[in-house]
Amino acid sequence: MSEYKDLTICKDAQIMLKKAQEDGIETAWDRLKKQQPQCGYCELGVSCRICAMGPCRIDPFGEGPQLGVCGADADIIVARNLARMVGAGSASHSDHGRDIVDVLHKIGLDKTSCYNITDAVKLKSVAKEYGIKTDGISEKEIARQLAEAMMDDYGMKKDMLTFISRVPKQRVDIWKKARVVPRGIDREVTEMMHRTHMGVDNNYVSILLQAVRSSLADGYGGSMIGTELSDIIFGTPTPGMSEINLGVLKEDQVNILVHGHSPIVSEMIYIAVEDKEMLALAKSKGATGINLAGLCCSGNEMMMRKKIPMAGNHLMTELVIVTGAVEAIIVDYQCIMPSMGQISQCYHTKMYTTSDKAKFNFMEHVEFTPENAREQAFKIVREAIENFARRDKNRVLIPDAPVKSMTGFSVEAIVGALGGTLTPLIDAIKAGKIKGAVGVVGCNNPKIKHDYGHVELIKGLIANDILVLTTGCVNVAAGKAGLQVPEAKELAGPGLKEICGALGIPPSLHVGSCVDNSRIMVIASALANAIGVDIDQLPLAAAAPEWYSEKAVAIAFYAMASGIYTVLGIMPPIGGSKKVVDLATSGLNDVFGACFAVEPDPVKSCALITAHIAAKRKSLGLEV
Amino acid sequence: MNIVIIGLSAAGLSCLNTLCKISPQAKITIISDEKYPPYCRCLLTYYLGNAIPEQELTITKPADYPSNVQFILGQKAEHIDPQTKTVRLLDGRELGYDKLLIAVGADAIKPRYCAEGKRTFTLRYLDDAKKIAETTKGRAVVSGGGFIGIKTAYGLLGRNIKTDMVVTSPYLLAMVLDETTARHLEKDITGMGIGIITGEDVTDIRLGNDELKVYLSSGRELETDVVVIGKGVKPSVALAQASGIKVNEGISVNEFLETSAPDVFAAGDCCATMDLARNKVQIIGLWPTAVEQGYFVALNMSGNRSRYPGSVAMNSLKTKAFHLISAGILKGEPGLTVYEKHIPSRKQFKKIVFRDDVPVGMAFYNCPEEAGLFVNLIKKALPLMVNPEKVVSGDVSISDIMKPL
Amino acid sequence: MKTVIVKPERCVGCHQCSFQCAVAHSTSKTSMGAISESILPKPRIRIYLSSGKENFPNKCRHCEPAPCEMACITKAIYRETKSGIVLINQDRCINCGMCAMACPFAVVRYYPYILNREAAHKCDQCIDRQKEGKVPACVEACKAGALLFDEVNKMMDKDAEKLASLIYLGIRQRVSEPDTFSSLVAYKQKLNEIRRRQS
Repeated sequence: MSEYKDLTICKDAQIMLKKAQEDGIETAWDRLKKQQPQCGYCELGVSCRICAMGPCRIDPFGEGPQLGVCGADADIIVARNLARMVGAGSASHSDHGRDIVDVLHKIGLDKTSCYNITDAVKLKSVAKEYGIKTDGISEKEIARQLAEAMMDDYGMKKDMLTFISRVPKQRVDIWKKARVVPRGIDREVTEMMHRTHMGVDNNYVSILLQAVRSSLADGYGGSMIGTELSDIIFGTPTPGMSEINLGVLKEDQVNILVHGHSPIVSEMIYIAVEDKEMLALAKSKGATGINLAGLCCSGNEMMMRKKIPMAGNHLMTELVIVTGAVEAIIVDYQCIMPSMGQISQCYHTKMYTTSDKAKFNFMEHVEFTPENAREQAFKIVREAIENFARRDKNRVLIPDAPVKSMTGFSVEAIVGALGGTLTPLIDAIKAGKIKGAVGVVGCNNPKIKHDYGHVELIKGLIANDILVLTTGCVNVAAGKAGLQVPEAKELAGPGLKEICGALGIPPSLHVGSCVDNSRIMVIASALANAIGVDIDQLPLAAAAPEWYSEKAVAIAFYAMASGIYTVLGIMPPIGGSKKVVDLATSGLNDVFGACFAVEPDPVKSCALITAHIAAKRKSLGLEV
Repeated sequence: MNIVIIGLSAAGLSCLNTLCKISPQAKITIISDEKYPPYCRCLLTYYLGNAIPEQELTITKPADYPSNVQFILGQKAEHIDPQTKTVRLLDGRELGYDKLLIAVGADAIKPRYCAEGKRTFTLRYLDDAKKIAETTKGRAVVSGGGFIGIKTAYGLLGRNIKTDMVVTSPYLLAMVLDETTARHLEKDITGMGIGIITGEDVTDIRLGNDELKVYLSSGRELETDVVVIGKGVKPSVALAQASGIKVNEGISVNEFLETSAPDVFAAGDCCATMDLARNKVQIIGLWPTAVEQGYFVALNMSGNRSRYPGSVAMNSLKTKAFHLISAGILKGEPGLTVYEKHIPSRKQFKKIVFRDDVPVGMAFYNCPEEAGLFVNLIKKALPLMVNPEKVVSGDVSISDIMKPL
Repeated sequence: MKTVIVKPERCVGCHQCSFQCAVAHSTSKTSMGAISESILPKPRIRIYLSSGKENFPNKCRHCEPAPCEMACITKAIYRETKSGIVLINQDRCINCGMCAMACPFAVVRYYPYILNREAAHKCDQCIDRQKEGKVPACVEACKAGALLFDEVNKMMDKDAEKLASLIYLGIRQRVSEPDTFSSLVAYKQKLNEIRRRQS
């Protein structure tokens, strides 16, 4: 058991790791160990596989080649590799947004009976931002026009994405000067791929600036569209309680999990699960009910809106199958480990893929379209209920009891909690009751002790009167550690404790899924506009203590470009180019007023962030 | 078994160390005419150049050895009686032996002008190095353009002594190198601040007021503080001759390193062995060769009858500016083919001399990596299986050369 | 005594062994740290390509007797008594170059080991790592099975057993079926032949 304590801070994970070993299941941790030592060239970013004249590598010890076959040096190779990570990450978020635009469009064209508008007020306000006249036309018509206007954002019709209008003018001027104003969501990613082709962009600064532009096309494009449209179609989240950890699984109920990202799928499963006929079917099979729970961002979306409990984050996804208590897992795309299909074969768990973009071995493909989504959801839930009989009670182990966690803090909810404007928050920051705010975001990575990076950092920040906003896997980490309930104010510094007590909110607020990092950008812009400064002057920071995905690199880039100091817990593959490292850790400051830092130790990164926030407060003339 | 070793340098020490491993019960007496514990002669130029202090010259100390090993320092062996199997020392002591190794080395050649009191020295013994260091006031002349001459000059440089080399031949290392390689070397050496005067000989040395006047064959005069003679060595055969042991150029030995006297062996600079490149018996006065020979003598003394295969003349000259490795025959002769290539961008020069397809000589300047491979090909007389043109151009990888071995 | 055993036919030429060897001989023991050190660590194992066919990992064989040890005039090169590993005491090394001359496998190189002082460098069989119970860094790095750490006799036994079972099961034909790597090697050989014919 002691070795499992080295891998994760979570009791439920420790118990499951032991069971996994006993059941003969290999986990991501085991596979990471086998991969050691990982390729030094790739770790440093100095291996290049972009063309067939290669594959090339630069020898950082000076003996071997210092240039690729095409003549690219370490700076170019590192920059190209990093830029492609940003491109891939931006593409993922943007594709997620695109599918929701498609649903909105089908709603507008009356081509789907599965989806409809829940938040009509937000529909109108967003439509207004797109210059659509909303008086005297039906909701469906507004939806259609809005969807088509958003499709223009995806293309090459514009000079600037629409949501850039939310950003303070000073910030947009900086972007104009640096030529990183995002013009089209797909356009920037395509250009990113073009520029990193052999023999196109061969200046590391130029390459990385396009990476910034691609990331902005994500943060203020694909992701933001995804967030806003999900709110419009499925409801803008409001605060409420839910539960987190493997204990949310129920021994006497049919357990169904949603994994992946898009609420398009999970919301349909929710409808099926809540259906009276399905419930009756379940009871007839000996279950007391149907228990829907979420993993990763699908879980985040469901938790924010419908208060559905979450079973775990990225590194928990394999372990949840090992409980032996899961009848079905339904996935769409992103962050789904292919090992899950293999692991599900060792248990009665059935896994389903729903997107033609994401096929896996050992999973049954039940394709969801805006037209058939509901029907497919019912099909799967029915099969899951039938699967309940195949559960082997002797192999079931549901560890630990679920932990309560507060959720639902959309921008609207936060503003609502503050009484209708951001003024109370601004006053609290001015008075020093809240020193500043930090978005702690991102994934898990077995290279960092699971959830340790997140929890230790958040504990340190709130103890320093810094308000924390969490998204993605961090929500699960913070929630499991009991940091996202109002009672957690006891762990906060005196100023933050007072504010949380007064408003009845936790010191660490669950703001949503990974595309919902756009919510943090909205708050940052709103705060900056309210005070009349640029975002980089605010006492803000961002941290991704345990990131793994390319999407995280894209998010880090758009946070930095927005003027927010970003601390990463894992070193990105840039070490092989001193110039790129210098640019990332200080040079970017001169252009964007923010830069990156790498610090795997959460205690040290907390110190970095608190020092940064203190410095920002000082520059604003606020008491440190 | 009672073993006596005369001589405490490379061959004698190597024989001693090997015997300690393979015949630990033998009683061994080792005699040296110097008072110092065993030191490495090759390091003298480094000592001279202040690169290493005196105590680091010592290889081992008598105290490091077990009780069956006895050191007699500062004593000369005067006579060997092969009949009674005894060695008589200068102080009259007589030592009996079952097996004897004569490893008395060689004496530095001293031209007639090299008289006492004229501040002229050879560099063979630690005392020589000490005297040279004491005598020089900032200048020196080195007579001789061989490896010792160059190393001495380089060593003196380390002591900030302005040195000029006087070389009889038209270029440095004429015994070993060809003109092209030698010119590369000369350029690097003069670049370090050492003067080279070629085509001249020292004819006389006279003591002036406080300085030395050195007269050259052309009539030119040099002023300096001390002269170091590096004109080669002659094997020390006096002891063997006086004892009736067969001598030709050096002490005569067979392939088992046995002399004409039963149970008497010889090794090191004092004897002539097979030069594998020239296919002739001659003196190869090199430290690693002597070490090898001492090792084989120890094997043969212990009853492990082993043929000593012979060696090649080889040398490594490494300074901050360059690294030269050479081995075997380097001068073209009838029947030999030479391949050479100069790569100026890398300051590299490679030369390989072949007899048919077997390498018999090599000189690698500033590319020491593959040198060892070729030294071994020369020693083993193995043919080179890849295109020599490509080898000297550096187009062939090490593995291609090694593969057929 | 365990030693590093090389199987060149499995070497895919990724150079990870060189890389991790250099990192293992750095002060910080991490790749980022190693490349920033004032004295850059150097690898002691290198991969060579032979005529476009096999990749050839080359490192010190720790010969017995060791030609480098015999050539070393300061006794800087010595054999560690317990393990039999041939090591270089760089403080005693005077950089004379004799060991490179003596080495028949071309594994000795000269680099700075402290500021302003060069010394001979060669594989030390990761003696420090072995003392901690780890295998040499190159062996750990090799994912293709080209570098193994075992006793030679035991390795020979294992190879013999494998051969015996192949013969017994009559899978000789299957052995000649190309795996993904040997298909790549065959393809590269073809490329080389075409180049040779054209030159």
